[in-house]
Amino acid sequence: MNFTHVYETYANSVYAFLKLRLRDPFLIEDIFQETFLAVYRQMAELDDIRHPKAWILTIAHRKMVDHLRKTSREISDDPLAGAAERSEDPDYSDLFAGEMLGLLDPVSRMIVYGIYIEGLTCKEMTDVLGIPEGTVKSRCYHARAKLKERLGREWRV
Amino acid sequence: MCEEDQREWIRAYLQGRIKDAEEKLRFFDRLLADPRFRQLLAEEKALMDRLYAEKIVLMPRDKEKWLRQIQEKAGRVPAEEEPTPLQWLFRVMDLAMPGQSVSDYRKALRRLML
Repeated sequence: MNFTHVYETYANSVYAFLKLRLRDPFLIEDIFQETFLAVYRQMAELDDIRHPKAWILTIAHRKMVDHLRKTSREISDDPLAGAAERSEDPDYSDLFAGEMLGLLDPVSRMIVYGIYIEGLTCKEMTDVLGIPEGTVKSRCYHARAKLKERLGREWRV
Repeated sequence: MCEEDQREWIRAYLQGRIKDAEEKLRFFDRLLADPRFRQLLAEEKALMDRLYAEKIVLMPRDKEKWLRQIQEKAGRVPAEEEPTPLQWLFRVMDLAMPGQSVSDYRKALRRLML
């Protein structure tokens, strides 16, 4: 598998994943490029990776957390701390027309996105976000309940 | 199997990640025998359809432009031909502890270094 093929396959996933947490388009572009630059430099490893999508999203998440730690904004050292209370969340109207994921806190958004859209398992999301599997499952449960409450009015879920 | 695991199994089926014919048969047997499982399937399908319908994608012009920029940057810093010592270590650990994830190795390493 060459780099261009990897990029074509995973570019949209990385972009959407970053956009779930960041609102500055230049920052998204920087971290997106840093992520794929890291992938390029580790291409020799890729054949041995069992789940390339989870691996690449893990790199993207770490790059994002590293950057935000350095700049001390939008996210704390603990990706779960205060996530639900944060007020600097982006406007998702351009991202999800129905504002579905905008109902959720940032970490739950990434979990729901990873599990339902990217097809990752709870265990893989554990690796991507670096949080316990029980936390992923619990967040997913509560996020789904919230979405179900909202969707219940429009869909028979 | 707890409800969250049943939902994960259902998502694996809906997302085409179940390849094994035996497992598909077990899935259908469960579906026929368990009304609650059918309800979970309906819920997962509805939520997935809704989320897929609203999925964001990168604009094609940005996608191409960003690829060129990455390739230019990559051209200035060649890809690592040889694995780093840490990568070698992970490979050795993969032989010793197959099935474990990289983060498990990292946790194990952290414990060893304490």
